[in-house]
Amino acid sequence: MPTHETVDQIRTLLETMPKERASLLPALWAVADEMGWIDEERTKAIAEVLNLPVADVFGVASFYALLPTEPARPVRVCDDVMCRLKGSDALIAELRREGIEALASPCLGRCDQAPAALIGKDPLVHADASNIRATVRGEG
Amino acid sequence: MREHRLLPHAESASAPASYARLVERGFERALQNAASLDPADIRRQVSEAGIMGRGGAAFPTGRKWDSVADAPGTPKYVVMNADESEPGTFKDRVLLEKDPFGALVGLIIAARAVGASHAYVYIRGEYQDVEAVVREAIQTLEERGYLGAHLSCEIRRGAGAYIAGEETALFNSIEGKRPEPRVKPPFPTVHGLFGRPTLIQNVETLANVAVLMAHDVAWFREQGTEKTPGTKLVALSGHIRRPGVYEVPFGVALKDLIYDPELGGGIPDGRALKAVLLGGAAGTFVTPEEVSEVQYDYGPLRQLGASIGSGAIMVFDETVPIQTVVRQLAHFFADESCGQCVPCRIGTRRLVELLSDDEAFSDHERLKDLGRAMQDASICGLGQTAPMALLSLMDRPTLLSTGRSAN
Ligand SMILES: Cc1cc2nc3c(=O)[nH]c(=O)nc-3n(C[C@H](O)[C@H](O)[C@H](O)COP(=O)(O)O)c2cc1C
Ligand code: SF4
Ligand code: FES
Repeated sequence: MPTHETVDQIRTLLETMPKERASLLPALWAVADEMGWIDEERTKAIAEVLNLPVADVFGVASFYALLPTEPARPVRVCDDVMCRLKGSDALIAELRREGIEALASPCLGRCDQAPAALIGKDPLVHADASNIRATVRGEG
Repeated sequence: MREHRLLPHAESASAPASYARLVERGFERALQNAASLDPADIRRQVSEAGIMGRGGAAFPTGRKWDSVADAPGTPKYVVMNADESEPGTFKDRVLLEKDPFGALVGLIIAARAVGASHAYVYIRGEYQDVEAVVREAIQTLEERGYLGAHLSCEIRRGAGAYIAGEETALFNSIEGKRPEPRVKPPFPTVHGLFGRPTLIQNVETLANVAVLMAHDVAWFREQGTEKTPGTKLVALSGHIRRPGVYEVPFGVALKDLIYDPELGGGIPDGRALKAVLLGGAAGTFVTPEEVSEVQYDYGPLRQLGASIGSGAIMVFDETVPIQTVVRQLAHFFADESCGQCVPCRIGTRRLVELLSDDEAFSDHERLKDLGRAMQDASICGLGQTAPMALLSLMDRPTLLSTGRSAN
């Protein structure tokens, strides 16, 4: 069960949204944007506020790869066809060796500036270990 | 050879989402022109201009508009599909970044033409920088009264699911359900978003409507070919000197797209071209010989079994083993299959397994059988087209010869 505090916080966050199923994806994003990530407790709280079955909310939330589920901003590096031509698989390996948990992502739609990465919500093009490191560490 | 209909000239000084830009691009004129026309007249002009969908399937746009207009039931919806997740495709991003009004004005005109009162812009969550530009442009249109009580417009942000770009999956996503495709028919034109008649179009298709309405049918047809009037945005990537998005008339020589110094500029590092993958992950590989002969238009490409698809042009030089590329494509489809129908869920995984050794590429019968089963029995385009690129290699054995290794 989510705490009253969490439910209240999310109720306030979703105040202007119609309490219906169609608000689910915007609600998930609102929680991710404002609170940083969506964990199990927050997922349950969203279900409660929108009056939806918890299982449905989990089913939808888990379908999408981009919703952050942990406090750390995810570092995604494209390992799709065009970025691999520019060495993105080696880049991912290098980052992992350095302890940066790089997630492999399908095409990020920036193949013209490969390799492409996405740090949190921010795109990074012509990515390499040093500009990714700077972005990740620069924000503390 | 480079055109500037959909993409503004680089020297345009106005901010992309400003009112000045709306006027400068002729889009205010387009809106006023459309407002003075009967909805049926707008639809007739779209049909006469010969606009076809730019999201991949090239369905005649005017015909779709007529179906939505004729469908019973209210409210009706119009949706801009800006989910753009096809590997190698980034033209909608560049178009929305540089000129967000084209597609939005097209959406407003579409709403009038089919009688819709609600509009959605569905944009992939990886494009939040682009989303901000679109949001600003919507605000400008609201301030000028082009959007408002008569026509609401809401942005919906996707969240990382390739399949959500399929039109019926996209409706489910907006409705707060899992973005899994629906069985068609019924088609979206009669039973779409929230079960209502819905028009869904690609970003670039809508931008074409805006430039058409800023001019007229004769002007629109001055570019392109008789069968395919107008221009196309192509996304060039890979082993190419000048990767990026270019606007060209339909019918341009494919070799010019790759080699013209104003366009792709050729293959870098003194290497030779090995293959071009046209149209995205579900596209067709073509050989250097085919590249040097074919025109970039639906008819000529069809003769090669190829298509324009999303406008992706993925270039591979002689160092690339095409088997590796095909394996990555197979992984992509296996990862992105929503899993609700068996031929696709099992077929995409089976492809990954089969392709794990190079021998399998010569077992044409087995691959074709699997491909056929997926094409015939999958619910949506993902499963139906996942084997396409692989099958295109069956007719082009030279592409499977070992690549020269990079030094
Ligand atoms: C798996 C899959 C993914 C798709 N993704 C997109 C997409 O990202 N953008 C798009 O415009 N169309 C996409 N489509 C095509 C849409 O279903 C639909 O045909 C298109 O939005 C119609 O617009 P158009 O006629 O203007 O091309 C996809 C189709 C499939 C099967
Ligand atoms: S073909 Fe694949 S992606 Fe499409 S509905 Fe079936 S399982 Fe889902
Ligand atoms: S393949 Fe990496 S951004 Fe498209």
